Amino acid sequence: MLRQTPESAAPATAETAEPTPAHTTTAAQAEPADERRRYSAELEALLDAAVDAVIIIDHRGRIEVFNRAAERLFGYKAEEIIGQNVSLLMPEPHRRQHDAYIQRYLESGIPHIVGIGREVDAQRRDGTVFPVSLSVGRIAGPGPARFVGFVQDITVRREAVAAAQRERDRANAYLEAAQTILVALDLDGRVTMINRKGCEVVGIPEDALFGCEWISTVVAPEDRSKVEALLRDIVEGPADRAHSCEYHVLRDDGEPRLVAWRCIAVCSPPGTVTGILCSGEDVTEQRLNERMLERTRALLEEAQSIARIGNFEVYLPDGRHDYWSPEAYRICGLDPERDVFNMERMLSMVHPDDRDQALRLFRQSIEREGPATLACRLVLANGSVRHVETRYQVAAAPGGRRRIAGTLHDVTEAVHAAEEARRAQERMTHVLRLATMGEMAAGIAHEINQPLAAITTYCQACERLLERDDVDLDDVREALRQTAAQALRAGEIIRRLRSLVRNQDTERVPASINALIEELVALIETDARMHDVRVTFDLAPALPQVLVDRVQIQQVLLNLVRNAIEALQSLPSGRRDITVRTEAVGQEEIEITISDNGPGVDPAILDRMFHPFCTTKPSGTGLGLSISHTIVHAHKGTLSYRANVPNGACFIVRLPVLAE
Amino acid sequence: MNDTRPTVFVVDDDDAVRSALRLLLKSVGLSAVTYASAQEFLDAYDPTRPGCVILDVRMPGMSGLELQEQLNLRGATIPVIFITGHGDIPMAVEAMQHGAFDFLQKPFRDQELLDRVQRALEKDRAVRESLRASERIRERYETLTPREREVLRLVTAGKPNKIMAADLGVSQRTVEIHRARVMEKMGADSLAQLVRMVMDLERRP
Repeated sequence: MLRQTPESAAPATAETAEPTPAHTTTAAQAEPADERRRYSAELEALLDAAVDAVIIIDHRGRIEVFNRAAERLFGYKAEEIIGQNVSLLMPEPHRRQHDAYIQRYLESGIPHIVGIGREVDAQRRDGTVFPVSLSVGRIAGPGPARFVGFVQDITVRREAVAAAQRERDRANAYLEAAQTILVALDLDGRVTMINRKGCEVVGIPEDALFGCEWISTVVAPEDRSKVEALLRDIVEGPADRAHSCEYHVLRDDGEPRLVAWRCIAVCSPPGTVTGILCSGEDVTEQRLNERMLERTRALLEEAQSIARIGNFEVYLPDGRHDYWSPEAYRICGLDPERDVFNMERMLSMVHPDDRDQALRLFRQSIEREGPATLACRLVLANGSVRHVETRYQVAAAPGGRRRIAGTLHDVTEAVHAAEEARRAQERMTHVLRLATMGEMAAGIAHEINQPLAAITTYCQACERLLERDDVDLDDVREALRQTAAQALRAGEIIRRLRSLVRNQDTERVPASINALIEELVALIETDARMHDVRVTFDLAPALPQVLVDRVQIQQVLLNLVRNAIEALQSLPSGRRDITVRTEAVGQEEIEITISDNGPGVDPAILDRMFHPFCTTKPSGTGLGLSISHTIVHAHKGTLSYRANVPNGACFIVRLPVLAE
Repeated sequence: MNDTRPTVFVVDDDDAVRSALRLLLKSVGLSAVTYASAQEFLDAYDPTRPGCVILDVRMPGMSGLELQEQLNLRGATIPVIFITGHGDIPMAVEAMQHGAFDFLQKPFRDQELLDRVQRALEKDRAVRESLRASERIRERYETLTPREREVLRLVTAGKPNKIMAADLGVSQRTVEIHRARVMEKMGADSLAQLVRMVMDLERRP
């Protein structure tokens, strides 16, 4: 509400009413006194109706007019503030300095606020400070200068601006945090805006980029035509369509960075394209990583394909999140693109003969957890049979599930190769056997010759004795007894020989190693006798049994003894000794040693003595030791050599004891 | 030394063969001594005992061939009949090359063995006879004076008495006397016999 101003103020106020010429026109038609009264009333109503606070002060800053809006705004009643210095409405430091402002203006004539208007802080009666928009006009008149001020509360507006700023800041912060590049281009392709990330990626400061031609400054030469076409499309195409594109920008140091862009036309006003806004993401490392990942994946697949090893990770019981590598599919005859594969399907492919055992072992391994291996045959859809071996790890997974991760190895080739090797070894063993038998034949003939010679001689002697007059019947009786004994002896030799030759099956059976050796004693002794070699048998009693192919192991032992006999020929007769010894080695193995006192094995061939065709004998095949080595290995045993003490050779065969 | 009953020495490591051979030899009245090894025989060997050896080629320890070598080294003249098993022919050949009397392959016909034994014993007898004759010649030769030995050398070289007299610087008569003494001392009936004696001496110096 406007309070009555001092009389002196009235003419000045009337003369300043320029903004409302209509009122002036109206006032000019009235009588001077009436006119002044009416004019005053009009002014009062005007001031009271004004939305803005209107304050008039004199040249000293004292308030003369304080309208209703001012009362509302500042919390002062007009009657209590009129006459006070206007600085009361200002917070420090403006309050103190206000008089000086007016003074300076009056002296210099240079307007600071007057006629300009600006945003300043104001203070209410309760001391709170708030932003206002202040415009000040000078009231011309006969007396000292007076001023009218229009004050508008801009708290809400300023808050809206601040909120908008905060929103912008937040958006910017987000874009920065998102490492997103933002670039705005005008229709000529010049940079009108670029954010910090954008500057960072291209390595050029913001100032230097403004106004630059984006394509020629930043885009890699090989991508320029593509980008030009893109920008053209954006400008000419539908305005609301976003365009995606990847192209290289060149950093100032020449390093190309691959950026994935999303561009959209900027329309202002709607329908009129005024520029292009592009957001981009530096995907250089990401693409590199993707390529590396792809390469690693491809290499892994290639390696799996070469090695015929697939891998898998499955979850039981539901099979969710299962993974089977492409090679795992292929091993099982499935197409990774088309077929569905899971543990159930694999188990259903197990060969009928292997199924019961495989399923039992699989179930046990699942219950037990930990590492497990399973080997079985699979029957593929096309009917072919593959030998596979899977090694896997079973572990508990969340939700009471089981995670099974492992490898699937196609060992078909290896199994076939092993079978072929075993057949080859059997053939070789057979050949070696025949050769040995041939060599033994001479010795056996000799062995049988002895009793035959004795029998013949006894009979002939008897005949002669009986022809004599002084026949000694005791002699004849003794001769006949001896004849029968020698015939039995010959029979025994033949029986042993037959048992050795007959034993041609290659089955592994539990056997006593001592019994096997005892069967060979006759043969060994014959051979030894022929070569003037003394053989001592030192067999440990009560040895555990071994699971062996009897013929093959006998073959190995005969071969080793025969080698020893041959080696001993360089020694004079009567000094040639061989010892065949058996003993237990711990609980797991038994050991058969064949040692001689010959020259021993030449150290030069120690490292290859078990290789095929390594021989020191003029007529040797070099296969004996090699085959023996293979045979013993096939029995999960070892054949090794050490020098005998004090001299000679010592071959050691170790065989695993048959488990109870 | 003058035990004229010959012995057959059987060396074989096979008990049955040994005892059968002894019985066979006994059946024809031959005395046999058996040995189970070459060394056993060698230890007991008496070179003065007449007889022959039946020897198995293959035996543990010293083989038949090695025993033959030992006998040769000792200058033994006792005939050795090798008996061999099947397949020992190369060894038998080697034995023959080293002076074996004969060889037989087991099993053998009794008559073949006995024939060979008889022939070996005859050979041994003959060898011993000739050895004894040589010894007698040597003994007689020892009784000659140096001059008589000179005359013996010249006579057996075919020199006439006249030349010898000139060579020795004595009269022909003296040569004739020496010559008669040499013939008498050596017990030679003719010049031819004297020449054989000298050859025998030279063969066994």
